[in-house]
Amino acid sequence: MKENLKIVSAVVLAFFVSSTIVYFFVKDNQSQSNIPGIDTKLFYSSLDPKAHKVFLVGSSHVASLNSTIIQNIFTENKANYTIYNLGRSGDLPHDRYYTGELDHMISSKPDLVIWGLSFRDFENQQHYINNANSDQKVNDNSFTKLPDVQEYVRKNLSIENLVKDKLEIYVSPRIVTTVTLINTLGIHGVSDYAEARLPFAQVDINSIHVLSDKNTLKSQAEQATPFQGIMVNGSEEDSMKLTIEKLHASHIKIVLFSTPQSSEYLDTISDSDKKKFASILQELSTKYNVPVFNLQDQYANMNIWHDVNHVANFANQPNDDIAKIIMSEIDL
Amino acid sequence: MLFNTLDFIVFFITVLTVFVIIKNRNFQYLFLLLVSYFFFYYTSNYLITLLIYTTIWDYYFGKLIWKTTQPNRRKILLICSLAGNLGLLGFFKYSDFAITQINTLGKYFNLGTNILLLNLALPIGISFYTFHSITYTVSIYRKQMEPAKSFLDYAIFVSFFPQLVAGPILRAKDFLPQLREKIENSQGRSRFRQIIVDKTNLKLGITMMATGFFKKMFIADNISPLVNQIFANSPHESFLIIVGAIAFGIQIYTDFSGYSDIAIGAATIMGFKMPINFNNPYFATSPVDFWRKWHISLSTWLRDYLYIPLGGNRISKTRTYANLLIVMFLGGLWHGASWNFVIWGLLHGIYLSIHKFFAYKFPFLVGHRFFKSKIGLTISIIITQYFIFLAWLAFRIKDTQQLPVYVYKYLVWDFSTNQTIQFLEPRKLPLFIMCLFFAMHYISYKKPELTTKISELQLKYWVIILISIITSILLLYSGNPEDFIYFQF
Repeated sequence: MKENLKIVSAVVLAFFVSSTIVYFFVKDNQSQSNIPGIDTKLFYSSLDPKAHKVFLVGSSHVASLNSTIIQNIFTENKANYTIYNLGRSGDLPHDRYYTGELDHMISSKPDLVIWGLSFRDFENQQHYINNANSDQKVNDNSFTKLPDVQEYVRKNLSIENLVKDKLEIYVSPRIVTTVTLINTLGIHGVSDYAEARLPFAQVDINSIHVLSDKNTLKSQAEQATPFQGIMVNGSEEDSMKLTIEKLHASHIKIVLFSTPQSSEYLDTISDSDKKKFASILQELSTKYNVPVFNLQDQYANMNIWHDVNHVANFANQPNDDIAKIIMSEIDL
Repeated sequence: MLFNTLDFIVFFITVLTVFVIIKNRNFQYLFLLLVSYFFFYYTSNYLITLLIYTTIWDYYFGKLIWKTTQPNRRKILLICSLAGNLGLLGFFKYSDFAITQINTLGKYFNLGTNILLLNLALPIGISFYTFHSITYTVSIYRKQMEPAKSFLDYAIFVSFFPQLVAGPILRAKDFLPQLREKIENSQGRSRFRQIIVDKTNLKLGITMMATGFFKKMFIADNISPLVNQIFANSPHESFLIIVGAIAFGIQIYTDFSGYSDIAIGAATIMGFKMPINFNNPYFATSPVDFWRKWHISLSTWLRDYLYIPLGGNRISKTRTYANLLIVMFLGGLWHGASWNFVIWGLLHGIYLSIHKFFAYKFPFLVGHRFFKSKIGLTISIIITQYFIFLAWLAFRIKDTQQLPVYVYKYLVWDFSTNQTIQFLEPRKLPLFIMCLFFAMHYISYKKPELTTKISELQLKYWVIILISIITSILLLYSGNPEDFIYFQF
C-alpha cells in the first residue's frame, strides 16, 4: 500500500511538473511571439500598437487568401508592415461589430483595415433562422435517446471547459510550440507562418490544391444551400456602416473589396442580387468616401479555385492584387 | 468514452479508488460490470441495449451447447448463436452498404430498384464485442472450455471496459479463468482472486498507458493533419503519395497500438492479463510475418475461427490460396462497409498468396541463410513494407475511382519533386515526428522488453521519464481530443 502511494504520488508529481512547464512555456512564448490564441481579445492585446500592421478582414473567402504571399511582397519591397489575415469562416459584419471585436481591433492600431465583402455578407438570414428553429423542434420531439450523460458532463462538469473558460491564457499549446520552434530554429515555412498570422480560421482552409475540374466546381455550386437573396438596408449593411464610422472616428483607414468568386458560384447568383450587392458597395463608397475594389469576377474563370467558394492557398494573382491595393492605400 | 480525455482519467481514477477501498470480491465484480456499462453508455447511449442483447444471447446459447450431447443439435445451437451475433453485426454495419450495391446493380440492369437507405447509427465497438462473444460459444462447442460460472462473469468478459471499444479481441478461454483464479492458502473469506492494485502491475500499467498516450497524442494526432492535407485532394506527385502512405501507416499504427497499450495498461493495473496486439509490424520481413505482428488479436482470431475451419493449408494449394483470399476479404470487410476496405483486405490476401506460392515453388528459399543475414533482412523488410504501405493507400482512400491513380503513381515513380518540396517545406514538424517514430520503432524492435524495463526503473528515474512523456504530449496538444481511428470499426 505504501509503495502504491509512492507510485501514485510520483504520477501526480509528474503531472504537476509537466503542466507547470507547459503552462509557463505557453505563457512566455505566447506573449513574446505574438502568438494568437482562441481568445480574440488576447490576440489583439498581444499585438504591439506601435508596430506597422494591416488587417485583412472578412469571412472564409478572405481567410483563404494567403497573407504570407502578401507579406513576402512587402518584405521584397522592404516595407516594414505585418499583414494579419483575420478572416474567419462564417463571419459577418454584424458579429465583428457587436461582439466588441472591432474595439479590440481599433485598440491595436492598425495602419489599414482592408475588408473583403461578398454576397453572403448581406444575405437574407431569415431562411437560416427558420431552419434553425425547425431543427430545434425536431430535436425537442425526439424521444429515441436515453439521457445523455456525456452532454451533461460537458455542460456542467467538464474540466476542459473550466480550463478554457477560466484561464485567460488558454491557447492551443500545439500552435505555441510550433511557432516557437519556427522562431527559435529560424525555419520560415509558408504554412506554419500562415497559421500564426491567420488566427481565427481553420487551418484546413489553407489548402494548396487547385480543383481543375469544372464539373466538380459546378456540382459543388449546385449542391450548396441556395442563395437566399440580398437584403438591402438590413442589419449587416447597418453594421458595416457603423464599423466604417467607428474606424474613421479612430483615424483608421478602411478600404473595401469584393472578394474573388468563381464563375460557377457567380452563375448561381441572380442578376438582381448582383446589382443590389454592387449598389450597397457603391453607397458605402460614396457616403463614407471609402475606396472599393472589385475583385469579384477578376479571377472567375482562372484555374485557381480550391473549391467553388475559395481560392487555393498558392494562387498568386489575387494575393498579388491585394498586396498592390494595400501598398497603394498606405502610400508605399 | 475516449481514452484521451480528462473524462476517462477521472473515470479511471474513481474506479481504481473504489477497488482499493472496497475489497469485497462480489462487490468489485458487480461494480466492474456497472462501470463498464457506464463507460459504454457514456458515448453510445441507447445502443448499449445491443451489447446487453449480445451478452444474454451468447450466455444462454453457451449453456445450451454445453448441456447438449447430440452433435447435430450442438451444431444447430452454434449456428443459432452465430446467426444472432453476425446478424446483428450485419444488420447494423452492412445493411446500407448492401442496399447501395443492390440499387447500383438495379440501376445498371435497368431494374428500377431504389430501396431507401436505413441510415442506422453504427454502434461503437460492435465488431469487437461480437467477435469476443463468438470466441465464447465456439470454444464451448469445441469443448475447449466450460461455460462461465455466472452471468456476471460472462457479462464482465464481454463488456470489460478497457477493451470494449477497440480491442484487443479477448478470448473467453483466456479471460474467464482470470476471474476465478484461486488464491493459494487463502486466509480471507474469498477463495478467488480479488481486484488488487499491486505495485508491480501499477507501475507497469501506468508505463504502458503513458506509452499509449504518447503514441496517440504525440505521434498520431500530430501526423494526422499532414495525412489529411495530402489526401484531401486529387493525385499529387509519386513522392508525395509515398510520403502520404508512410505518414498514414505511422498514424494508424500509433493510433491503434496506442489504444491497445492504454487498454492493456489499464487492465494490467487491475491485475488482468490481455494479449499483446502489436509487435513492431514495420519490421516484418514478409506478409505472413506482418500479420504475426499487426493486430495480432484479430489475425489470430481470423486464423482460428475462419482460416483453419475453411481447411487452412491442409487441403490443396489452390484451396489454400482461395482460403487466404476469403479470409483477408472478410478481414477487410470487418473493418468497414466500404469497397476500399475490401480492396485493402484483398491486397493482403494476394500478398499472402504470392508469399505462399513462392514458399511452395522454391522451398529452399524458406529459411535461406541470405534472408537471415543483415542485408537479407533489410531487403526483406524494405520490400515487404513497400507493399504494406501501398495497401494503406487503399485503406485510407475511400474513393475507389481515385485509388488506381494513386496506386499507379505509387508504383511507377514520376520523379518530379516540385510539388512535394513545396508541400513538405513548411511541414517540418510532422516530418520530424515521422523520423522520431522510426527511431523509436527501431529501438523497440531491438529491445522488445523496453516498457517492462522502464517500469522496473527506480522511482526517481521512472518519474523523469513520465515527466518527459507528459510534457511532450502537452506541448503538442491541439486543444481538442481526437477520435481513435479504430472506433469507427
